Amino acid sequence: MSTFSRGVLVNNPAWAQLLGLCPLLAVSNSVVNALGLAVASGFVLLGSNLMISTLRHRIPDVARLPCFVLIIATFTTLTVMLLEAFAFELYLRIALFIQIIVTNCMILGRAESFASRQPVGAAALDALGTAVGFAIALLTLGAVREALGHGTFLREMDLLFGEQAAHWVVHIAATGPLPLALFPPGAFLLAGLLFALVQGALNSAAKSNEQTSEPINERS
Amino acid sequence: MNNSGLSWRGIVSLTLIAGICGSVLVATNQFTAPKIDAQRTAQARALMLSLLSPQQQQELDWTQIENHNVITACTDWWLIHISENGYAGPIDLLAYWQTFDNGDPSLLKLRVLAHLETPGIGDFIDHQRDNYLPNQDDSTAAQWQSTDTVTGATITHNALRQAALTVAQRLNTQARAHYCNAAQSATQRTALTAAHSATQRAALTTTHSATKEAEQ
Repeated sequence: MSTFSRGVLVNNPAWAQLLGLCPLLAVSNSVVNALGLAVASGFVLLGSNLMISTLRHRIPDVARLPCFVLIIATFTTLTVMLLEAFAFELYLRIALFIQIIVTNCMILGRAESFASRQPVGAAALDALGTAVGFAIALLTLGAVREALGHGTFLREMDLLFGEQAAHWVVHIAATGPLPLALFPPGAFLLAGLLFALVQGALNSAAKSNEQTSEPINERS
Repeated sequence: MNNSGLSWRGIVSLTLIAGICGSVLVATNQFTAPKIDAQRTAQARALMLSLLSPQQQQELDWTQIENHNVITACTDWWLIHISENGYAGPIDLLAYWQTFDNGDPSLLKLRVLAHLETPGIGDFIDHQRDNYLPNQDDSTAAQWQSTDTVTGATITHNALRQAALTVAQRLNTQARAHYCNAAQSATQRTALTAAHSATQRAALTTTHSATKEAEQ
């Protein structure tokens, strides 16, 4: 299995490693919020992995963690500035959760366990795989919570894509059948169910392929 | 990775990394700052217009006076930008203050421009997420002091109470008179300066013409 697909499926930060759950659960109450966080996290992950991998021979071992945090904080601040400049309404809604990407253990984990030991190409692939895997988890949870909580799909996409995207909304029901889905307890319940479903499917696929020699994931 | 400890090379490397990070942030800030300022100004402007009646909006366009974060046409409405300490940092507020000539107590509308309060718990101060502040519209400063605290968000709610008090203090009768008198004086000074300049220009032109005629 390639570095990229490993990050997307078996080592997925959300359902396999259970990392970065704070912003994931807080922001995934709609698809547009989830997409905003996914893009921001992906940008920070890719940028910090590339920079850490490039500078890996220059970073002193005793000060590696402060260096990683400094680099991640730089890319997070860049993201906040760009979001505030070009997607102001979305910034007002998810800014706090973008800022705590600095302390996201998913990004620090990839920096420590992969980017600081691998060449730039492999680090970029790992970042892309992890970012895509996180985005899939975020968007899936966002779509389910929005459908159950609001009874819609793709609402308020104009926050990211301009006024023409306001018409992309699909009304599934007049009102949300399960308003609890929009609140933190609903997020925990739905995330648990979704992650169990995905893990069950992955384990079934692994058993049927008889690929027992490779570890399923890197639980933290 | 270098395992030799933090030698002088390590210090140089750390300085280099910090320099790269700092430079990237400064460059991005230069690029985005004008756009961010424009976005914040547009947000404040839209919020101001939402608090004013159509008549007051026209007054805002024509005769506004801006002094120490106070905007007014010196009629019966005042807008003031204030900042109070919340639970997680400063809360930036825009307040609308409606005064009455007949001695009735002034009415207050509060809106939050920016805050860092805990999501979920502090959401009630965001008028786009919760109707708490719109429901308190047209309360007096005294009524604000006697409203029930929001459970779990005492410090955030205290900031709103303090904001009402600050607005009442900064826009009391004497302060309002001071703002409007200062504004009138400034307008008069501008008019006098303009008239003086015009007179000087006319005098100079006349002198110049007379000199030319004398030379001829």
